[in-house]
Amino acid sequence: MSLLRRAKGLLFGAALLLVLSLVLRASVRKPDKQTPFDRLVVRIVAPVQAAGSGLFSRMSSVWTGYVALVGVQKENAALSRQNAELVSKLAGQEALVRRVDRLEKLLDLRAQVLADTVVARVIAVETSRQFRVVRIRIDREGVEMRAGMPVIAPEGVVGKIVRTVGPYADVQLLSDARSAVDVVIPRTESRGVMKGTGSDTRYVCRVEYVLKKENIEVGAAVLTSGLGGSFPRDIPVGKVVSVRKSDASLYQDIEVEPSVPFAHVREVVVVLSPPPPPEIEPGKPIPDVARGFGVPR
Amino acid sequence: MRPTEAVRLFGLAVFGSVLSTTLSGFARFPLPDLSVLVALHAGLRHRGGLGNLAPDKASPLGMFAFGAVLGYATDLIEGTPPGLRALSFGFLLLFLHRLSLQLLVSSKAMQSGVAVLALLLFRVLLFVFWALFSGEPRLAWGSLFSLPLQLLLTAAVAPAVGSLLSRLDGVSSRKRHPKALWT
Repeated sequence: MSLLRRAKGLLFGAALLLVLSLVLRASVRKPDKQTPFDRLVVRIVAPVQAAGSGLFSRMSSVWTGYVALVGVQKENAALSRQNAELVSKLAGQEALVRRVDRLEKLLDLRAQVLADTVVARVIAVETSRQFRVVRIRIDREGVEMRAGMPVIAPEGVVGKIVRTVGPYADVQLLSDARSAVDVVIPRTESRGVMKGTGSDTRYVCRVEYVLKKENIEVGAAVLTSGLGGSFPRDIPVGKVVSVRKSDASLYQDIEVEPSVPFAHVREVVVVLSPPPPPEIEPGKPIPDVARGFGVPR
Repeated sequence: MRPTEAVRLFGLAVFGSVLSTTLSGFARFPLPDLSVLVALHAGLRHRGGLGNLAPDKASPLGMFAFGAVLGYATDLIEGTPPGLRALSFGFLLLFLHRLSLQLLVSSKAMQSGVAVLALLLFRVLLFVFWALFSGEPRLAWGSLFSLPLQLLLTAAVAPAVGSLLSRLDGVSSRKRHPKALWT
C-alpha cells in the first residue's frame, strides 16, 4: 500500500513537472499567448498594482516634502507649524507640476506622432530584474493594445508590448535580454541590431553586426531604422558610449546607453497603428511622412 | 498541508509579490522578494512544534505543488514568462522542505543566513531554467550583478518578516507554540 502511494506520488510529481516544463516552453516560444486563467489573474491583480502605484506615488511626494522640511527646520528653528503645512502642500504641488510637465511632453510627442496613440501609466516593475519588464495601464476606453506594439516616450523608444490583458500590458524594455531592434547610426549610415544586455545594474544595450571598417564614434546617436516592422524609422534609441574592436571578430562591439531614463519613466505612449514600410529608393529623398514619429493615421 | 493554511500562505505570497512589484517602480535598487520570504516561511515551518504542518502532513510532493502554484501566480503578477517562477518555486520548496528536516533555524542570524541561501538558490534556479528553456544562457548573466545587494537587503528584512508571519500563524491557529522553527 505504501509502495503504491509512493508510486502514485512520484507519478503525480513527474506529471506536474512535465506540465510546468511544457507551459514554460510554450511561454518562451509564444510569449503573447495567454490562457483565460492568466487573463483573469492579471485582471484581478493589475488594478491592485495600479492603485498601489498611485498610493506610493503620493506617499513619495509627501516623503520628499517631509525630508525637505527636516532640513529647513535644522537651518531655521523658528519655522512654524503653518510653514510646515505650506511646505508639505508645496511639495504636493511641485509633484503635480512635474506630472503636468511630463504629460505636456507626452502631448507634444503625441502631436508629433501622426499615428493613433494612447498614453499609458507604468504601474509595476518586475522584481528579480532578470527580465526588464514593466506593466502599464491605459485609461482610455475602447482602445485595444496588441503584442508587438511599440512603446515610446518623449526621449525615444521604450520597448514593445509582449502581452496584454484588457487595459493592461507588459512592456519589454529595450534593455531586456530578449529585446532586438533594427537600428541605424546616421553619422556613418551603419545598420545593426540593437540587443538588450539584461544587465540589472544599469540600462545598457549593444549594437551587433556593425562591420569593423565602419568608423563609429563615442557619442554618436542611434536611431530606429524602420526595418523589422515594429518601430517607425528615425526614432531616437540612444547614444554610443563605447566602441571595441577585436581581431577575433568581423564586427565591432558597440555599447549604447538608451535615451529613455527607464528608472524614471512614469508615463509612456503606445503607438497603436503599425508603421508604414520604409520606401527607400536610391537617389530619391525619403518622404517626411515615413520619417521619425511621422506615421500616418 | 491543510488547504486553509495553503490558501493563507498563498494569499500572503501574492500580496508580497504585488507589493514588491509596485514598490520596485520607485526604488533605485533591487528590493527583497517578499514572495520568496513567504515561500521560505512555508518551507521551514513544518517541523515539530508548529503542529499544523508537521513533515508527515506536508509531503515533498505537496510542497512542490504548492510552490508551483505560488510560482505561477507570481509569474503572472511580475510579468515573467509563465512557468519560470513556477518551476523555480517548486524546486525551492522541495529544498526547503528537506532542509527543515535537517536544520533548526532558531536565531535571527540563522534566519538571515537561510533567507540568503533560499534567495540565492531561487535566483540560480531562475537562471538555470531560463537558460535551459530559452537556449540562450549568456542572456541571463546580466541579471546577477545586483544580486549581492538584494541578498543583503533580504538578509536584513528576513527576521522581521519571519516574525510577522509566525505571529500571523499564531493568530490563525489561536494557540501559542512552545518551540517554533521560524520565529
